[in-house]
Amino acid sequence: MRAKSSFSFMAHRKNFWLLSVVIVSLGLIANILMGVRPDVRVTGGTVLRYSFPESGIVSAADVPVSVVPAVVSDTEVQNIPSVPAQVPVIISGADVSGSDLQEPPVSEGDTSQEVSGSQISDSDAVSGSDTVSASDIPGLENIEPDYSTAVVPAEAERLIMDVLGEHAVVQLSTDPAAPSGGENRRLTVTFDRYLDTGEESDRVFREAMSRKYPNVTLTLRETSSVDPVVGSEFVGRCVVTISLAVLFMVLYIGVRYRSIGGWTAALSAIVAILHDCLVTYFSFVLFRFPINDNFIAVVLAVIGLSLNSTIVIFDRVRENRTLLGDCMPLAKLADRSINESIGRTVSTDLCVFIAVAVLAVTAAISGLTAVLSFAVPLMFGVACGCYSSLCIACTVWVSWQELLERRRAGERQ
Amino acid sequence: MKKKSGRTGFFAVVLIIAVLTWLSFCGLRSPDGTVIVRGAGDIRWGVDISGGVSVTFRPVDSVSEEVTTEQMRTAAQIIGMRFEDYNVSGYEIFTDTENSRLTVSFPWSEEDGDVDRLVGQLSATAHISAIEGRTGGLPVVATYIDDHEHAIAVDASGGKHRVAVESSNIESAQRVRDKDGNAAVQLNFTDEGRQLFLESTGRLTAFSEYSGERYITFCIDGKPISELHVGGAMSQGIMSPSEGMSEEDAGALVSLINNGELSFSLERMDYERIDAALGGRSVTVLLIAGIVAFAIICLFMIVRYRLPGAVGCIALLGQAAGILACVSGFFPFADGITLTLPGVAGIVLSIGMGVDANIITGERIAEEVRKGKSIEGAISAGCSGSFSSIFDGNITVIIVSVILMGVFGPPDTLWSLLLRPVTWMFPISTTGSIYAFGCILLAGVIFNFIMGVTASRVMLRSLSAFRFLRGRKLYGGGE
Repeated sequence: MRAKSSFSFMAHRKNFWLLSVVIVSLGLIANILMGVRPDVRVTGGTVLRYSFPESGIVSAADVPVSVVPAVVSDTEVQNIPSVPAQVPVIISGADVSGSDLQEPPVSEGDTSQEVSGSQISDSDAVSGSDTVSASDIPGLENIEPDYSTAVVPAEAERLIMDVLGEHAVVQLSTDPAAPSGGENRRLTVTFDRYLDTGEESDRVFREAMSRKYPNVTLTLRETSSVDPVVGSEFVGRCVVTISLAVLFMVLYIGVRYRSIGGWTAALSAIVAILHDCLVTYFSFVLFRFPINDNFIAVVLAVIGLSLNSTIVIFDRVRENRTLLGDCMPLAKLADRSINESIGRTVSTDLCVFIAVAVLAVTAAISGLTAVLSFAVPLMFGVACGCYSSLCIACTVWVSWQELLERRRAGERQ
Repeated sequence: MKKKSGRTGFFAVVLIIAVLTWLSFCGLRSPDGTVIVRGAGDIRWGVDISGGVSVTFRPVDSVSEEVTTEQMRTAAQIIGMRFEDYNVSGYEIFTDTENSRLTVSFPWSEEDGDVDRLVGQLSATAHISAIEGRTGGLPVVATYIDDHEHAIAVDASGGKHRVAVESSNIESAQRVRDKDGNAAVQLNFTDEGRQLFLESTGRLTAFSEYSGERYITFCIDGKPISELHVGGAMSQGIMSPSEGMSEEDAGALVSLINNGELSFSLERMDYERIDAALGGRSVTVLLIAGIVAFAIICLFMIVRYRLPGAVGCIALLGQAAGILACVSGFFPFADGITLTLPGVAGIVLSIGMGVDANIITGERIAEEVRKGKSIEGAISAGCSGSFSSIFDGNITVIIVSVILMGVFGPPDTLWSLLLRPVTWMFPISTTGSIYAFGCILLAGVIFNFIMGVTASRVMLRSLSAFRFLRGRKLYGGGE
């Protein structure tokens, strides 16, 4: 039923180490080139807060600027009275801005191109951006409009990345105090870092949003910032956690597996684990996922799984050592133990990998980027953990033991 | 081993697991709707997953110019501690020191009750004062220092009261029972505070003409909370409102006092309900992913390990149910954990370890069967042989979870005390999501031992007692 594979891991140990070194180097290069994206909780950043009406209709009473609304119907445009009317109108986002309070933002001639239907209908709505020159904003040409007012945060975040080149988190909320026909929806953009071009970013963002969501009229309420919430303290805690964990694991493994070399076993396991941590970290770098508490959770999960696999192999080595005695050369013993444990190691890691892959796929389909940002690195980590347990931990241990043996033999002479 | 009694083991275990699973997923509600046992539907999700509330505060107009960065940070810390005391986890506090703003966000849904009250308690200045006399229920509207350097409080009717002690004179508060057995709060003063209180109460006793005037009124943020009748000089203050105080309120009051007062008053400037950033369907998505993954894993285990694999699936279900129960607050000693994404990572890891335990056992048993052992012998050898690996693996996870809970958890837990030699250098703060991750890991390990080891063993042993389940192929022995 199961073919007894007897692949010699020891014979290929140098290849494995080379592979690992290559992977880690590539990762380091990627890190240097691409930089890492710390979470806004760590760096602090600029916040832009907007409001918009859920119904896509702006009523004069709710817009906190001296905008001149006008009456519209589907296709015809009436002259804009110089006195504010009380009837709702949809105004393209670029015209409504906190900073343009002084003059009425539209004049007769311009409005005819900008105004869309007072109902949210697909075919009649017109993207209202002809008056604003799009040439100075890159990336606006290929935007596909979405005529509902249901803004998808992930879409908005992607938009910000495309037109501004910035990472941001978009959050939607509702103001329960505002009347339901009015400006009751809020949109908050939290950038990953402080921007000194806040005004410019606001203009570009609203322009892009008005193309993407023509029926969403954003009004800038305020520009503010958030201080780093945790900053260096969080990083400090992470370092302490990992250091303590590594320390205790070394102690535990060293004591439990002293019959097969205690410290060498422990430290070899740690080498494998650090290798996994690095690869997991590099996957965050590669995909530009933010380094936040998801990161530390994923890293620790990977450590747990990888260590588990490594321990199972070492346990087998210890058992075989007792069973087969000292006469079998270490490399052969290790090879045999690993081969005996392959089934189990690969099975478990495969199961966890499948579980996380299912999660990642469902998240990708549903657009849940936050879940994706921890499922994908976890997949990398699990795969790497399997590889490191089989190919790195034991090989390092064997080589180390052999080195010690040679030294001891050398000393005797 | 008696074959007859051995057979019942399997059914007993399956029954227990079935009941546990059903209860932990569905919970139990009495006919009138009160919750007897919490189910998966009662799980508190983090803001990201199920939305919540966001409130922004700023210092009251009069002081907004003078508030320093340091004061803002301290205020944020105090509010954080208040969140902890009210057991609202999954909160976040953002400070904008440039514009002097504090924004807090936390998971909240309609069923959680009155959010306004909580917000009020969170942003309360918590200035305690004990004033001489009574105000008739009216709040204190102003205080000033008179020519004799005494602090005088003026109530809404214009009545003047001398201030006996204030927040700075209070060392701590604790819950006690008053002479009628009702919940009350005792104030422990500093040395200076005790002196001042003795003076005040002594003066009231000696100089008031009517015993009706011998009262000390305790106020919080100017609002009178309780009146204490003074019979003689007293060195300790007891707050027990005449209309009575619930245990909960007493506890809230104690926390409010012990966490300290804000050095400035906050007013609420903005309030919004946050959409679930991941979309309302995220819980459904996670659930579907979980079920699909579980099904695939079970299929894999049964195909590869046959009977031990099937037993493993049942054990895995039991473990998942156990973890879910801990998260939802099924077990009375824990109030439930707010589930955020790191928590989900913890569940994935715990299930992974559970799968691992069952796979190790399955592989061992298959090996033993192939070596030619009897079924009972193979099962015994398989279970005992695999135990040491399972044990070691779980111990390492316990180490990691304890460290996590100690480093990232609230300062008054056992784990935090254990790790105090290392964590003393960090200011008091909690990252709830990672603390929850640690808790879930620990719960996972405990249930791994219960289900993956013990329950599996019992089930396997009793199943092997059935004649028709003794074929070698069923245990992985190949042809």
